[in-house]
Amino acid sequence: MSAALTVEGLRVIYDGHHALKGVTLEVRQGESYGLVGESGSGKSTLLRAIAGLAPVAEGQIAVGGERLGARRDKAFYRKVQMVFQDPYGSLHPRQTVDRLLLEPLAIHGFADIEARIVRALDEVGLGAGFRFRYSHQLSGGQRQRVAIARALILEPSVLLLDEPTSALDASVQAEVLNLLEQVRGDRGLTFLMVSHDLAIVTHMCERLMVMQGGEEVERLSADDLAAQHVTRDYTRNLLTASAGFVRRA
Amino acid sequence: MTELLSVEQLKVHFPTRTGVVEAVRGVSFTLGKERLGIVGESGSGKSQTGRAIMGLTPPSARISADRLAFDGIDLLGISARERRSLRGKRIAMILQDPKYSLNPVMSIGRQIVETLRTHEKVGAAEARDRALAMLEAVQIREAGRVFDLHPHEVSGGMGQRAMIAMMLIAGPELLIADEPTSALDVTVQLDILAILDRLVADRGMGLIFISHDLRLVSSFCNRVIVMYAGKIVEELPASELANAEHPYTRGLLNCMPKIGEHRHPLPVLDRKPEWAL
Repeated sequence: MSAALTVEGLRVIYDGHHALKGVTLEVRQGESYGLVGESGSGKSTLLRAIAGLAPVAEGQIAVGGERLGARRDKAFYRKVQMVFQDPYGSLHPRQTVDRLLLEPLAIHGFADIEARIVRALDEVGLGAGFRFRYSHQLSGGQRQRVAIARALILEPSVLLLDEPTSALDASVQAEVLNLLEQVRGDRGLTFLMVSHDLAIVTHMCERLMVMQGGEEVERLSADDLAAQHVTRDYTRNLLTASAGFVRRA
Repeated sequence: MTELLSVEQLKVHFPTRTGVVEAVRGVSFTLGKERLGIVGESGSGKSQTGRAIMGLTPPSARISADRLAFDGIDLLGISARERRSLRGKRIAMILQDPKYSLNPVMSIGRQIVETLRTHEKVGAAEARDRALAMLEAVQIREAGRVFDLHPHEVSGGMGQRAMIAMMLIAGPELLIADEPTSALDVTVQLDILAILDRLVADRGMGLIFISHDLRLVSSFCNRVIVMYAGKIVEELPASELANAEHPYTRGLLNCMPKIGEHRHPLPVLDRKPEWAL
């Protein structure tokens, strides 16, 4: 199967701080790939570097076999869209949902705007009633649905997901995860998903990479992780930690 | 078991322009020298319950209770001054994120010393020694160095240890921990919980552990209260969590993805209006 996304030897340096120290990754077409790690592991930086939001010092990124230059062109954002962690920060507070969804369509010169907005809202389960509301009138889960609708409205093939549910309640998280799985199935999307939660990544992704300090710790399949077939102590510690608190006798 | 805290029909209401928001709507429980978990999602009133006990409800709120007593003292009847003497000394609270709950322009050591000297008559040298000992008790290795650091110079885990040190230095009998580890990485989370666990056991404190994480709470506490829309929907021993009866509790437990399980799609909560009655 062809690669939807390849990253080779990627280095990101912020003012002398090496956030990513040469990471290599290949995500297949239609695959859901997870990036796991604790804060400072570079997992979000990797996602941001792909989206063109982080200073790449070295290495190459290719989407659908095409190498990306230093600047991303419009065609790139047609193919790759991103959903951010905090739905309270990622939606413009003074724009209605309608305006938020219109913007990417206008930028990319789409014609059938009306129909697309209605369809996008429908697809994320919000319905036309939400179209002329402001984001402060929505709950966290509803906002994240708007953010997903905004990402999907350009019909991208790759979705970059940066902790899309960590700001949400557990019950709302389940709804948003189900929505993401459903749109992936419907559209054959490729996901690259960042999370600190091993349970979410094993639920959503087929393969994953564990990261620490800007480097890869190991790459493994979700099934291997679930079966505790891990080779590195760091991953094992993460697994133990996610099992919850155990009182030592 | 001696009764440390008794709460009966606690209500916290916020009058707003668009009507009264009933954040807590008649919560009752008692607490001894044990660990009680309060679990709920955002807006369930769990944090406002903790704040009402601590006396940190904003002045705009209306707070009422048939009984809100700590060690026999009627918390709603005493003066603000008396309340202040309890707060920090006998009842302490750990907040979620040390980035926001520590004073950014004061060194960690000075903040701990300030807490101690507010409540006890101790000399500067003794206060410093006790603060250093407390920093060691929360497993900070170079206590002398951390004493002089400012909050922005330490990691989240270290900041939360400092917060715990500050809250425990005056030797409180009741500790309210409001999401004490939610802002931390999972591995750090466990270290902090282990420290908290040991200190609470050694000092024989009562603990109210407020969290959105039902599993975490049940692994840490003796008893769990589940709140929904300002009310308690279920109270059960932590060991009996698997046998929870209320559909909300069961739904919350069910909707979390688990490692090694293949459930697609995940079950979602079917919220019934009668839960909020």
